[in-house]
Amino acid sequence: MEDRHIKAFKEESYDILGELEALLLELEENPRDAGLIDRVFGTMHTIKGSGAMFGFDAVSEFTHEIETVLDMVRDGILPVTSGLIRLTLSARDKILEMLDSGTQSLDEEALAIVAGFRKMVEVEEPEKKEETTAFPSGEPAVLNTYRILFKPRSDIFATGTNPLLLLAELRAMGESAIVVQTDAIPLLADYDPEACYVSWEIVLTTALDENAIRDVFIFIEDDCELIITRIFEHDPTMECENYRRLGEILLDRGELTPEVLETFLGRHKPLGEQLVEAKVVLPEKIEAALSEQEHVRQVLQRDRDRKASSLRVDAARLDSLVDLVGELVTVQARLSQKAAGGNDPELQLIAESVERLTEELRDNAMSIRMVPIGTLFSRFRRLVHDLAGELGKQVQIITEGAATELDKTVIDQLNEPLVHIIRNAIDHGIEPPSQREALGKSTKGTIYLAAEHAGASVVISISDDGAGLDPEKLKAKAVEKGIINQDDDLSDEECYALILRPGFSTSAEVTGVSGRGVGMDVVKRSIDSLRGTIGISSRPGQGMTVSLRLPLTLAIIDGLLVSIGQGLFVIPLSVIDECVELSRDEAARSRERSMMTFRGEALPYVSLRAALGIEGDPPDIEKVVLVNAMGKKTGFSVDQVIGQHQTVIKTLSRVYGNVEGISGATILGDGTVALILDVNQLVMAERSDSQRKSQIIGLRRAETVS
Amino acid sequence: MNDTKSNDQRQLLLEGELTVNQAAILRRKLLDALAEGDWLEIDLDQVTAVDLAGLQLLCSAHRTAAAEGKRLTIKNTMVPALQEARTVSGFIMQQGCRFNSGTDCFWVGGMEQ
Amino acid sequence: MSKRIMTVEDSTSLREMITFTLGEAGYEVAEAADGLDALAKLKGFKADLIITDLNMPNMNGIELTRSLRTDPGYKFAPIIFLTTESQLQKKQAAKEAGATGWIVKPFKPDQLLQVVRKVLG
Repeated sequence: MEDRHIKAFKEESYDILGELEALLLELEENPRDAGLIDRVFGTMHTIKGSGAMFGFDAVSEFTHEIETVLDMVRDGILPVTSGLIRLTLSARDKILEMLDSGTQSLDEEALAIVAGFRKMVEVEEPEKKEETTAFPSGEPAVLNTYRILFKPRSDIFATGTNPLLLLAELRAMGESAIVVQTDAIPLLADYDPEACYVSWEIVLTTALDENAIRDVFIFIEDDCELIITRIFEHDPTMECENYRRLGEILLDRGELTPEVLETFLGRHKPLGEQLVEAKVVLPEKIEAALSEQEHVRQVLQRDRDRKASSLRVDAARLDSLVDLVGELVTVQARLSQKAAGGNDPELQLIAESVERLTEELRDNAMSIRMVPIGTLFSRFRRLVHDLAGELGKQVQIITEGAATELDKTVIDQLNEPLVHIIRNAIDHGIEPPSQREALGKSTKGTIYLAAEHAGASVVISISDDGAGLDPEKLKAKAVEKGIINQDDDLSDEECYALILRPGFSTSAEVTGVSGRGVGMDVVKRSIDSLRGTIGISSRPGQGMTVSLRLPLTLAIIDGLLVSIGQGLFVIPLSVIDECVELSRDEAARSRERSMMTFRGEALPYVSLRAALGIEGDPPDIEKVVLVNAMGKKTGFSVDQVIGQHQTVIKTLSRVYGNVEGISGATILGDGTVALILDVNQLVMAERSDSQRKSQIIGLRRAETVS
Repeated sequence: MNDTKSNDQRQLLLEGELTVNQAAILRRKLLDALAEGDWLEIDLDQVTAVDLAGLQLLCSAHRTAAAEGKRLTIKNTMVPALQEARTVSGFIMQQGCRFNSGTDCFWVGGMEQ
Repeated sequence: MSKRIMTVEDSTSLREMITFTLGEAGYEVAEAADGLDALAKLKGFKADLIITDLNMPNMNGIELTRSLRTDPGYKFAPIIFLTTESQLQKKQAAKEAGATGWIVKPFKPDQLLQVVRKVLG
C-alpha cells in the first residue's frame, strides 16, 4: 500500500473521528434521536471497513466490538445512556491513538474498553467473528423534506397547550419554514378570546422520520388536524434538479385544479399575484407555497455547494506557495521602485501590471489558507464536557461566529491558549451547582465562545457567567507575590491584567485542571507570538470575558517604517495611536526620567535607540510613536518616521529568534532588511526595568534612613 | 407628529402580557378604542410577553379597522416579546392577507414602520 | 427567573424523586399530597406547571384538573398527569377534564424532564 493512500485514509479518519465526537455530544443531549444514532453507527462502520482495507487490523477489530453494541442501540435493544456515550468517547480517543501509532495489537486500555462494551451487552461475545466488509457503507444521513399541515382545534388553549412550543420543537428537528394561516381570524365583534383560529403550513427538512414528527404532537393528536406528506427525498449521490414551479406546488397541495391553472398560464404577471387578484387562492396559501419553493431551493443549493469539488492539499505545500508569493511581493516592490526611478514608460506599465497581478495573487494565496474557526470551536465542546464532569460542575458551551475565517497557522496556534482560558473559566470562574443555586443563578454555567471580524483582525471572546474577578483580591495577591508595590495605583482593568503576569494564581488551592497558575501567562505569551492582544473585562459575581484580538494572517502586516541611525524598523500599525515630535530639550528630559508629557498626561517613554543598543546621537528633533500596548500608552522615540509599509513577514532564523523586542524581519523594495518590533515585549521590558529602578531607589532610601 | 395626533389619532398603550390569560380584557380594550375614532395607534413599548392569542388579537383588530374603514397602526413594533413570538409562530409574511394586503399587513417584512 | 412547578402525588417517595429531579434541573418546586392540598397551596404558589398523579385520596387528579380549569389563574396552565399503561380509560377522562399531557409510570428522570420541557419550553 502506498504511503499517500495511508495518509489520505488517516486524514479522512481524523475528520470522521472529529465528526463522531460532535455526534456523540449531540446524542447525549438528544438520546432518542434515531438519526443521530444512525450516524454514529455509520462513522464506526466506515472506520471499521476502511481500517481493514488499509492494514489497520487492530483498529478494525476494536471498532467491530463497538459497532456490535451500537447496532443493538440502533435496533432499540439497548438505550443511549451517559455511560455508553462516555465509553464510546473514550473508544473514539483510543482509535485516534491507534491510528497515530499504527499498532497491530490491542493494548490493555483498548481491551478494557472492549470489556466495558461487552459488559453493556451482558452476553459473552461468542468466538464467531464477522467478516469485515471491504466496502464501507457510511452513507451520510438521508434527509427528507416534509410538508406539514397543523391545525389545532379551536379550544386548544383550554388544554394548557401552547402551540408555539410545538412549532419550536419542529424547528429544532431540522431546517424549517413555517407560515401561519390567518384567514379564519374573525373580526373583534365575533372574536372568542379563548379560541385558536390559526393553522400552519410547515416545510421541514430533517434526518428524522415521520414518526418523530408525529411524536411532537403526541399530547394533542386527538385535538388537532395533522397532515404530513413527504415531498422530497435527498439523494446526495444524484444530480440535483430544480424544484417545482409555483403552479405545480399549488396543484400538489390541492389549492388549484389543472383546469383553473391552465387559464392563468402564459400571462405576463407572476402567477401568485394573478391568483390572489382573481381571489382563486388565498394570499397566505400562496405565501406557504412560495416558502416551500424557496426552502427546497435552498436545501438543494446546499447539496450542490457541498458537492462542489474540493481538493485536499498538504498544508506544507500551501505554506511554500505563500512563501513564494512573499518573495514575489518583495521583488515586485523592487521592480516598481526601479521603474518609477527610471524614465521608461513601457517599463512603468509593465511594473504596474505586475503590481496588480501580485496583489491579486497574494490575496488569493492568503484566502486559500483561511479556514473557519468552527473546526477549533467544536473541539472545545468535548473539553467542556470532560472538565465539567471532572470538577462536578454543570457547564454548557455556546458558540457563535463559527464561520469566521482565520489563517490556518493562527488557528493551529490558538488551540492551546483557548484551552487554557476555557479551563480557567470552568475551574475558577464557574461555581459549583449548589453555590450557583444559592446565588440565584441557573445551576448550569455557560461558556460563551464567539468569533467575529473587526477590520483586519478577528476578535475571539471567551465569556463565562461565573464568579468574575475581584480587582482588590487580585491586587492583594500581586502585592503578596511581589509583582507590584502596595502603593501602586491600578485601575480595575490593570488589576485584571495582573492574571497575565508570570507566577500569578487566583485560586486558593491547586487543582488538577488549571494547575498552579501557570495558565494565563502562557496564554499571554502565545497570543503575543501571534501578534495579538488580550483584553479582560469582568463584573464581580456575573462572570468575566477574555477577548483576543488577532491578525487575520501571520504572513503580512501593515506597519510603520521608522529609522534609528542606519537601522530600519517596522512597528505594527495596529498598535499605533499617533506620532509626535519632541525637541532636543524635551527629549533629553524624557530620557532622563523615562517619562514624557503628552497633552498633560505623563506617559512612559522608551528610547528605542537605547533599548536596542544602537550607537550614535539622536537628531535634534526626535519623533515619538505613541503605541497602545499592554493596556497602556507608551511613547517610543525614533529618529525618523518614513511611512506606512505593507510588510511580508520573514521569521528570523533560530539564532536571532529570541532577540528581545524583535519579532521578525522584512525585506524592502530596495533589498534592505527592516526588523519588525515586538512592541508588547518592549513595553514589558521597560516596565520591569522601571520597577527594578524604583525598588533600587527604595532600597537606597532604606539605607540612608538606617 | 403632534399635529396629526391632535386631529384624529388615538393612542392605546398596551402593557404587560399580550397572552391568552389577558385576551378577554384586551379584546374589550381594542373594541372600545377602535370605536373612539378613525385612527388608532397601539403602543407596544410596555409589552413584556406575547403568545399566539396576542398575535391573533392584533390581527383581528387590524381586520376590524379595515372593515370599518379605519386606520390601525402599531408603534414600537420592535419590542423583543413581539419579535420573538413572530419568529416562532411564523407570523412573518410577504403577502399579507385578504383583509390587509401587501405592506398594510403588520406581519410583512421586519415590521418597522 | 426559574419556572415554578407544583407536584401533586400521594406517594412520598415518588414525590421526592420528582421534586429532586426538577430541582436539579433548576426548577422551583412545591409539593402537595393530594388534590385538595394542591388547590390550597396553589393560591400562594403561582405555578407555571402542575404535575399530578391520578389516584389520590381526598381529591383525585381528574377532579383537581377540572377544578383548576375553572380558576382564571390556571385556566390555560399546563397540567401533566402521571398514569400507567393500563389506565387507558382514565387517560381519556383526564384529557377531557383539561389535562395537557401525561407521563407513563414508571419513568426515568430524563423522561420526566423531557415532558416538562415539552410543555414549558
